[in-house]
Amino acid sequence: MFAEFFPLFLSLSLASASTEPVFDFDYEATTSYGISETFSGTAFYELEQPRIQIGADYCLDALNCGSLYFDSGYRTAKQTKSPTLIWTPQVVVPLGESVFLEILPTLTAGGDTQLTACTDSIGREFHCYYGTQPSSALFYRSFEEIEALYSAPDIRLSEIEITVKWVF
Amino acid sequence: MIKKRFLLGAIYLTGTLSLSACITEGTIPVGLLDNVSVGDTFSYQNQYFIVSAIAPDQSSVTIETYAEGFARSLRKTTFELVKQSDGTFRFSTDSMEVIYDPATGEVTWFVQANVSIDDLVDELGLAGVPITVTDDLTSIYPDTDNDGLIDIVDEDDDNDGVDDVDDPLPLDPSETVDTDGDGIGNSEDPDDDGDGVDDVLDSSPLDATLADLGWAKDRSDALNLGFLPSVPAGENWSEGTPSPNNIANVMDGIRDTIQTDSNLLSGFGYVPLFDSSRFTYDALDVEGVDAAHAAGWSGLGSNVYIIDGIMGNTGLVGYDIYGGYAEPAHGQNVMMLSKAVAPEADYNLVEYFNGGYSSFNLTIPSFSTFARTTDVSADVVNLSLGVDFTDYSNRSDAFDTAEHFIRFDMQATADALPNAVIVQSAGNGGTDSLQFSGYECLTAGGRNTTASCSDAYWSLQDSTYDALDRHIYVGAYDGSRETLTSYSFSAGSAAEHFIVADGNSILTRGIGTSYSAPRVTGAIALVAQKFPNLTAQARKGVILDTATDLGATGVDEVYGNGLLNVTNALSPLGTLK
Repeated sequence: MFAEFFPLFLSLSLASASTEPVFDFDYEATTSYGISETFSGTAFYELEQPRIQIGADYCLDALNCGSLYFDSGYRTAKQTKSPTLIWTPQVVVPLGESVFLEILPTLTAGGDTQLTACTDSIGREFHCYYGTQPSSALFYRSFEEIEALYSAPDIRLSEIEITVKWVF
Repeated sequence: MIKKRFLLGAIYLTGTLSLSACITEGTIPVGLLDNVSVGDTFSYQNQYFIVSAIAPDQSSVTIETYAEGFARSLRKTTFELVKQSDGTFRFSTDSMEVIYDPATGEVTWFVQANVSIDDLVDELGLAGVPITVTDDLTSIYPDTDNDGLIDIVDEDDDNDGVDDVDDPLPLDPSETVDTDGDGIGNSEDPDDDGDGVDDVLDSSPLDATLADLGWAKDRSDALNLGFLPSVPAGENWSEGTPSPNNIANVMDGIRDTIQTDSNLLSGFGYVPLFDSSRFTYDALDVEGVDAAHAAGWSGLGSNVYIIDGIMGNTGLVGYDIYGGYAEPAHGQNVMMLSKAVAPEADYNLVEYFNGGYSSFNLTIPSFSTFARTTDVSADVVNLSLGVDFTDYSNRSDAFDTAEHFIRFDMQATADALPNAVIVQSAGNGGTDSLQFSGYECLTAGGRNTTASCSDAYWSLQDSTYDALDRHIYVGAYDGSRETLTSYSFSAGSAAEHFIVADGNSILTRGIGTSYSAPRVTGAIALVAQKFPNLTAQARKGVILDTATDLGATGVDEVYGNGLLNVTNALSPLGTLK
């Protein structure tokens, strides 16, 4: 009897619009006569437009549900992230009266990140968030390595989860 | 001992005239051929003959000899005595015949009277006798130990009790072992295993894989010697990818190595004159170097030259020996200081010393050789040497020496390493009174200045030196008293090129601007690792512009640009863009 209500979007699980900078930090630099001073580096990562993130869950029938997630990405002076669409369809295959195979792949499109180095007064390249705690691996990787890390195909299977369930 | 010998009467072919009408006989045991083998020799009047071949069916026996008798030059001649129907063995030409009769054991040589040498040689040629020419008379049948057995048959040529097959130096009776195969027996070889460490200091003088002088040649060597913690290259501490999670014990490693040296020197009877406990970041006293190491900047990939007195006064690398005492050589102190700052840089050593800070000698081969080469990959070169005017008794000598030093040595160094920052100690005549009249050094901060009282005077002249834009002078700073050390020159008019750093050795109680300079050299190696695309001029600029300001605000005539600061040198210069 439920079948006549499908397909049905059941909920909007995420919906936000952010204007927070990607990184908020200070850094130290040497000024005239060897004096070290602290400067704000946040401006390098201020969003040029709000970042929108939205997600939804849906069901096509009683066994085939899934979720969609969209991230508009962002653009800052030193780092940009392209829009991202993540689709996680849930496929349930009955293997018996009380045994089910559940397949949960995650397909991702977009989301590439590009970094631009900051330079000091003599042209030396630094990560712009120099001076922050090295909580990110980006702190100590070269730009070439970062580029390699972030380069990805347009649409990729980023994760797949397979589960066998018994219903007692 | 001769392997086998048989006696044979033989004509001794000598000179150019002795063949005339010569008939000689010899006697050998009956049944000779049964006992003769290839290689057997016999002699007659110091002329040696060798059996070179025996026909399998014993139809002939061939002997060889060298002699002057058949020509005016030395010749190798072969005779083949062919078995005849009467049982004798014969060799003959028109003018010569050799007969061996096994039945009687007699050998008879016949040479026709008055035959000319040229004719005889021609006949031998026609008879198919191989004749070859050798030029080295002395190499023919030597008998090294004069035991009457020529070396080619003597199983122990030098009679030292070790057969030649087991003797690496079979012609040297005083040597029976040569571990490294360098041709110098262990009795005379100062480095038996050829590992670069003299036996007197080598804990394993017969094992080239075990040497312990602390001179790491590369990363692998450094790891073996304890210079570095065992962090595999490419993990945590590798070129271009420094990690915050790596070394904290660089100085511990170096200290352990120095302690190893100390133990070795003690073991060989020398009292080591250094204190390994001084190998600490505190004693090094360079702002930010410990943090730089912790962040992974080690100088890896940087190319450093050290031009100094590396060889000790007795030829013992790294140490001067005075009586029973072993003191780290000047160059040892200098290199260890640079290594303490940049332990993973590549170090190239150039020997340049003739005793004393101010001495130099253009004829020292190692520097002369270096000065004729070029290494465009060098990032920095350290010269803890120079010319103090105060060391000379008159102005003329001081000026001439200093000018020559800049024109030839410094300019040659700059030419040889065209992309390197040139780091030079400022000099130690800061408070010396001049020993010559008619000239007074300029002073700043109560010290004679390097620009007026040392070779720096000439480096500031375009006509004598063209590398000032990548040249740094380093004075010595006393951090505990917050002033220039009493011995250090101050900057003077070289202030734009001047920086200061701690002047204490970390191996000994030694002091001097010689030990300030390598701290700066090591710091430049760190900069070169982190920013490999900088020019030498830019590397110099980074070091000077990031120095901690001392004295009067800005560049001044006492401290120049101020105190070396590695933290600043590796940080942005000015605001980021």
